[in-house]
Amino acid sequence: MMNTSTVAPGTKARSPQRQAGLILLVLFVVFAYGILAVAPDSTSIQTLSVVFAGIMLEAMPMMLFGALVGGLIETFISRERMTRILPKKGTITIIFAAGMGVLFPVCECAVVPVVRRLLGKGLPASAAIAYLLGGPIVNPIVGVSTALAYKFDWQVAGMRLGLGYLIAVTVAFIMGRIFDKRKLLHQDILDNVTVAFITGRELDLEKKRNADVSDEADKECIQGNQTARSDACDCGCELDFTNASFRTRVVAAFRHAAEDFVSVGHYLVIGAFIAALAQTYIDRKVFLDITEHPVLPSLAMMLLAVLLNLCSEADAFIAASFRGLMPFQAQMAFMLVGPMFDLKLLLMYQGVFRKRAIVTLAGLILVAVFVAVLGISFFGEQLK
Amino acid sequence: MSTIANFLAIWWRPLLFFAWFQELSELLINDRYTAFLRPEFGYVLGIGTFIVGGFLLVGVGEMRSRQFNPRQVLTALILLLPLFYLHNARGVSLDSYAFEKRSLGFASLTPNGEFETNDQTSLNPLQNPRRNRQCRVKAQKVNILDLGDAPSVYQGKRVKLVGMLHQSDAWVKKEFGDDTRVVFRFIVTCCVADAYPGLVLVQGNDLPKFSEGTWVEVEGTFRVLKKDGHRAMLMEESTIKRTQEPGQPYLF
Repeated sequence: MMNTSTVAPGTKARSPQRQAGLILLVLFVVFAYGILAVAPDSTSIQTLSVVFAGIMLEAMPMMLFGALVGGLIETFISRERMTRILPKKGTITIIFAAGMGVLFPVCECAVVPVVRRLLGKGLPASAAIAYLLGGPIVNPIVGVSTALAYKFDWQVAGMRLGLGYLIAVTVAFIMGRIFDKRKLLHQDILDNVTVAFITGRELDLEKKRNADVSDEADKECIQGNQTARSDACDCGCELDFTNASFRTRVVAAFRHAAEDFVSVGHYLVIGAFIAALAQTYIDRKVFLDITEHPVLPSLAMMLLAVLLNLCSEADAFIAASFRGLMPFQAQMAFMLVGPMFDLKLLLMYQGVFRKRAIVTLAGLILVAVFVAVLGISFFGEQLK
Repeated sequence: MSTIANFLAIWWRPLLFFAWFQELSELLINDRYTAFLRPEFGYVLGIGTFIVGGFLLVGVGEMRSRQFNPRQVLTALILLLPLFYLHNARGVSLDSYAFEKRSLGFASLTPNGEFETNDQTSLNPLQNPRRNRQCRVKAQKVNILDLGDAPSVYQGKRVKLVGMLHQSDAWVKKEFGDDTRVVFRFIVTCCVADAYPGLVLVQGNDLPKFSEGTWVEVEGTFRVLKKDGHRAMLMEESTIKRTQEPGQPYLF
């Protein structure tokens, strides 16, 4: 049990892991500002500036939009309504969630803040993973852009969307089997899930008993409830908006969105910066030296997808530029990995999941894509 | 010290949102965002600016005393980082340096549009009898994307295009000879991160030597040739002259 006399509500202990994280952040800030201060006019730093600014300007509005959608979900959709919408069976929820991008097309930058809020509203964690992975691939915009990049070859687009969907469902299902909610989700999200039971309209004791939440987190939020009424985001507690006016809800949605932006936005910046470094200093011809090997091209293209951090709506054009140089399955590996797992997503996932869960998730995605790619190689002639 | 901490604790969010709002508005109003994004993204950026404006209003509206946390300074510094790099990127576009990193050799030369030819003619203009019969007609203004999308439309015709000169690529020299130059433009799908070079080979007699990355206007006879199973876009009997950087350096 937490001793509230010595540790104030909402205060987190400074674990060695947390301190190491803080040191890494400091080093990042010193490095990023340092190189800009030392050689702002060098060709490579100017290229880095253009690419970094480009990635940020493309990703930032998407993330802001995602954060606002998350905020609107928070204030306009009650937990009870969400429970009513969702299918009763977990497996069906996963199958449904992985294809939700068809109705609500989002890119990978927008999906993370949306998922944070959906989790707080009671979306099962495995279904959230299915949407997180499937949403940025299984959507009409990606389908059309892929077909365009491949000269209106709808087979390629269909294969990308189909495999993306299968991988999202499979990985989500396995993650749900391996982790329970407490080991999977970030503490802030868990707190939010917990408090929904306390400040929501319906205090369902049956559900509370079954919920995978800690007593400490419950107590902390009950004690902090006074504060929660005036500031929903700081402690992660939900306000009751049932009788609130439209204006109040919209203002609260913006407040929630701003909180999400600050919580996840810095991960986006760090990821975008590392991607810009990779884009500036890595010679893409290097990846062409291994084309004769049966497996290495796919692995190399998966690595390239992780490093480049391209938007899922544009990456097909880069994959297509490798036609004639890399085997088709390697191009497909590139298009499957990027929207599910790249550097900025790796960092942004830290706002949703615990570290061990992120490592497992990344491993599963890479293995699933690799298996899919082997399948394409095996059935290549029939499929192409 | 505590005064500064109190000030930062209260003001850092509104200041952060104000900085972003101001920068995004300026990029939109002056169309400066097209140096990084394709023009249609202006709408998306507009929505983003509106949302940041909302954050700013909400942030100002609920300013109150909060507990200061040094981690907030780090978060603020990280979230402000892109603004400093944006400032450094003013008036800069991707050039020969980025070309070297992003060019994929033959793949970058290959036209997108359908084109079939069995022409295995040597690249040496002296061995190509067609060049001597080529009429000197007025060249049609095109860009590299036009040539790549519809190569058969321009096959054998005089065309004129603007691009950046690249002349130190060892791969090109080895494959096509020392006198062959490369003229390229970056093609952007969404943003400069996904920009890839579209390029044509340029051959001609006594082509002038300009420094790497010079913007040039090239006039020549367009041809798609096959070499080692690849197709490449080529301008023969070309003339090159220096020109000004176009208002929009990228093709979309």
